[in-house]
Amino acid sequence: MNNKKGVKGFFKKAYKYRAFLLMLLPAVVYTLIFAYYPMTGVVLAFKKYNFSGGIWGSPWNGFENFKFFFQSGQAGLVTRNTVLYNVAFIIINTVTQIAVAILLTEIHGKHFRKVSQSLMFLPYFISWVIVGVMAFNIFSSDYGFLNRLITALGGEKVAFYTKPEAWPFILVFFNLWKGVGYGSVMYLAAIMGIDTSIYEAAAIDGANVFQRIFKVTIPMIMPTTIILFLLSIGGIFKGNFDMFYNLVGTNGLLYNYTDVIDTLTFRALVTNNNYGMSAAVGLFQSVLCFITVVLVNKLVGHYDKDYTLF
Amino acid sequence: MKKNMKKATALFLSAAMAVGLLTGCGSGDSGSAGGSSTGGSSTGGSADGGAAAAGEVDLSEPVELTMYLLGDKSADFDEVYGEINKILAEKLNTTVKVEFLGWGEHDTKYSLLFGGGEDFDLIFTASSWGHYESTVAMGGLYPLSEEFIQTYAPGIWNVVPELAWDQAKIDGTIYMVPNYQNEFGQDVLAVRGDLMEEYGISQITNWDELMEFYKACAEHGQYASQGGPWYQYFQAQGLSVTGGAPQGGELILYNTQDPEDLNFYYLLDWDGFTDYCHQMKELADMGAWSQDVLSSSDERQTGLLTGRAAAMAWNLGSCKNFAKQANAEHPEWNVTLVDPVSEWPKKVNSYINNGMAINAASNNKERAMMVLNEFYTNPTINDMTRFGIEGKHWEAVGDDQYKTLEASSGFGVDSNCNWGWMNNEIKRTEYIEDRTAVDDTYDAMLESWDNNIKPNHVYDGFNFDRTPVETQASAVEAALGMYYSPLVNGLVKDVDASIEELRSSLESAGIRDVIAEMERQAAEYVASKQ
Amino acid sequence: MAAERSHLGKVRKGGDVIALNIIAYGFCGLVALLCLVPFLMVLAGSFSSEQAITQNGFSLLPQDFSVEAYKTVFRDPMVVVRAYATTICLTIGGTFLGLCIQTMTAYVLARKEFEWRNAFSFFFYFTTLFSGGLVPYYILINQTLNLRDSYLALLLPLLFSVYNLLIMKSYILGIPDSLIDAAKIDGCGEFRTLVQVVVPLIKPALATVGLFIALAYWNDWYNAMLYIKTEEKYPLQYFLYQQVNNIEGYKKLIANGSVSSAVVSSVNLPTQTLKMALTIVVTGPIVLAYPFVQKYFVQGITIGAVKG
Repeated sequence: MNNKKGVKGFFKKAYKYRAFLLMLLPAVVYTLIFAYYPMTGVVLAFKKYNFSGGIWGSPWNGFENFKFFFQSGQAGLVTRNTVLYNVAFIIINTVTQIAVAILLTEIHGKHFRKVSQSLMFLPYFISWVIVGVMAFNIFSSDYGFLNRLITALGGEKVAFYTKPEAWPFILVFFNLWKGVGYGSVMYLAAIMGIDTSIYEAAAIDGANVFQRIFKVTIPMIMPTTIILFLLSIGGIFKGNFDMFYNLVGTNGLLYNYTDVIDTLTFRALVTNNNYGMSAAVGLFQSVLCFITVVLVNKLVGHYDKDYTLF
Repeated sequence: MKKNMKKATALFLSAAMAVGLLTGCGSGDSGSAGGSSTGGSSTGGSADGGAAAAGEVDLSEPVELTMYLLGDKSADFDEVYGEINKILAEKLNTTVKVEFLGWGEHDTKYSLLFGGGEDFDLIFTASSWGHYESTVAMGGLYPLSEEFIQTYAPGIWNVVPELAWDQAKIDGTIYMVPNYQNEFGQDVLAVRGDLMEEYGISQITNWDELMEFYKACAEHGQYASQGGPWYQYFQAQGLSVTGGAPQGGELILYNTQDPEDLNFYYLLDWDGFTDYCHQMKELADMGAWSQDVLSSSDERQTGLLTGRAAAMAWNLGSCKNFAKQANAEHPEWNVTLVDPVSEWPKKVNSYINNGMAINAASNNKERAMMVLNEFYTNPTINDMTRFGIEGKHWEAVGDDQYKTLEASSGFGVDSNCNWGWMNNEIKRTEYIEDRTAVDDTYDAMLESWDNNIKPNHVYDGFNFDRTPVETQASAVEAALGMYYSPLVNGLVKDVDASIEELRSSLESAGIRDVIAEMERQAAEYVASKQ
Repeated sequence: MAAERSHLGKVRKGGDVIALNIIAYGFCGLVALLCLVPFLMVLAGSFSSEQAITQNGFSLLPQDFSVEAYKTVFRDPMVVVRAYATTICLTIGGTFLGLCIQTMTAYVLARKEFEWRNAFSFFFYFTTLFSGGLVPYYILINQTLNLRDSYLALLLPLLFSVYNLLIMKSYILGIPDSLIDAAKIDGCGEFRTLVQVVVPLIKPALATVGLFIALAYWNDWYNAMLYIKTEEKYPLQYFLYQQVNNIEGYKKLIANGSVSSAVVSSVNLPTQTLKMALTIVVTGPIVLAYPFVQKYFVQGITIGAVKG
């Protein structure tokens, strides 16, 4: 910060900001207790945990806990998969959710707008366990809906569950489908926060609706878009275990295209439940996420300081 | 500005109430460091010698023990345990409070109970699925010395066979009381009798006949099962999974039928595996099972019950239950039980598949052991934990049989996690009034198996402790995922290439270290037995 | 405030408007349909018999109509009612408190003259990246704060979310500085500016973030699983998901060949249909309550109207 005036300057500032600081106090105290205090548990990544020693008393074991992940021979593959899936999710979800939000606001039939918006929220409530069963009902080669359709149209059956190339599309689709309603609400709220007088001004200037969308709406929701983008970048090395596990299961045939860090860790540790090793993988993911976010945040800062996360 | 400050202060105060106990946490903080280590204060390894030597326990103070069991609590559970507590209070001045960890929760919560300093005394445990090894590795379970068991649970010591204690040993120390029942480790097949007849298969008693049946099914466009018969294959060669080895013991086998053979068979050094994978590739390509088996969320019995598969491989008891259910729904299927590995004598399942352990941080270890002794060896209590209250849930038929009564669904037979103290000596069997053909087949099979138990192999009691090579073992588990199940179910495109890929990825994961450590431990174990 | 006016004001009906309308109706209609159909399948499935579902898979109409799954859910109606009450109280209380704290914090972080805002943003954001995992958190709640089996163990963990905070901050950033400056010139303090000037302008944002907090409370079963022991204190989702999770856990268990047959036969519940019935029971109230939140998403804000 501004260190020119030293400690005295700091207290002067603090006094000047006393109202702000007071308003921040509850959140800061909460965060210290519920986030920073348990965060000290990351030391587990460097410990051989036992119950009697607990988090602090257990013996250190250096980087031992990290080894299994890299030694599995699949660390590169799963890290790549995790990132690629997240990149695809971020881009496709963002574009679709914005499109849905904008188009919803353009619909004049009030009931149609309300009803379709409500319906889009429904998938959010369907758990991944059920989605997994549903997907099996669609893609199964024996009695799957899609294969019945293909054969009815005179085509050859497709064994989706032995065809890894198909799965990036399937996973992206289900991820999009499940989040479209929930995600577009955020953009809807941003659009609703735009001052209507700006639209009126645009209309007077003779802009057509498409120009209005691209020249007014999209720039106006940019701050929200970028914040949400940065927030998802913060999880770019973390895979959605529930989704991958319930849709793919333990089908090794698909792993080349579907195995992510979290599913690999689950497989490796399911029998021995090693806290140190799972903390190590978590730390590995966190550090990579942290680096990525700092870089991307810097880039965004070059574009506009107000859009950055911190 | 000052006015606004006041308002801001008021707002903060209201918000602070929301955050709650801000004040409380300051004092709690210091407690936490101590709290997380309370578990260890009394854990100092085998400090129990003194207590055991003391012998007599002072029973003058009433004590309530807490016991954690797995699964769901049934409706009448509290009523039944209320009765049990009456007996325990009279005999040992002790009562038991039971808490359940649901099937969906125990993976998460089991070790948190120990790590979070929960106050309890007894807990159900089981090898692998019941977290036995991992909890011992983190020092959660109280080591049971022989004197301790003999002193406080002489009944258990008399009943449980030595083999069971051997299996329960980790690095030479016992941490659980294994259950004692002769469940067989070998699966049978519940198979559609009508299809066997239609395809002209008269019997399935060995591998070749089994293959013939699978092929016949495939040729008739009928799925035979929900995947490849891998266990049947290696069991037909006399091999068995090794306790504690990766992939549920499947990756490294030993010759359980030949006590002289002390080799381990690592799959990728064993020609049988390659041979099996080629056979499975052929079957899968013919359509002996669905290409989707690896992703199917079907339960094990779904294929048989829906008619999608002609057979189901599972343990004897489950096969009987589902065969009866299938026959009740489709009498024309004539589902029956066959033993596809009938040429070998039978291996009894590992006794540490169910068991009970004492929390290392328990304050009442002696009482806990004495209570366990009652559960295990007192026929009245043992029956109650299995069936409920006599006259309400069940009635005795003779000395060694039982019959369920109408109200039995309120408790359920063997449904309340009483599995840790199953005791073959006093175990009643079910008296069935309207017997079906499946019941007869089952009884006959069980009887012939009981009379044909295989001779002991020294490795039957051996359980690999993976802690010294945990990194390698975890890496191996992770590396197996991509190739192993596809190979076992014949779903890979090129068998030989996949086997090579599996081999090289296991090598770099460190399988040689695992095998070397295993051989070292095994040699040590064998030496200790001589 | 202008009542039910579309935020677009009056628009002329040119060719571009018609084209956009076709796209909008077509696209939104298609997406809505894709979202509706699977849900109808879940609804139909919840009224089907377990056997029919395993045999034939999902369908749009109930097969072999049965209310067996709902009977299992509502085995003990009083427990369900109590669980509903617990969840509703938690959701309302938590959403209100959470919104207060998050709006207040976001407001400060969005104020450009607060030079330390980036440092504080980082202080909050950092916690989303690193976590110590389950063990220390469990010890914190259970031992350090001693909240085991307390409603506070359900309320506190979800009270504050950095995601919601930063989303809220981005909405507040959209408010022109001139409005806030005007309020300050009028002699408003920070808190009054927040309540009287900012809050009326961010109603859609409050609705959104409020909705997210409410959903988080509504859907939470994990904290209850970890910290709540007494059955009377179970929130709805835990009461329901306990059943589903138990089935899933049990299925995973029996896939393990070594588990003994007594364990295998100890559970006998409808699996697929029960899961679907639970989805319906959980979703129902939200679907009914959603339109009340929705009105904030279909009504624009006119900044001029709140000035002065």
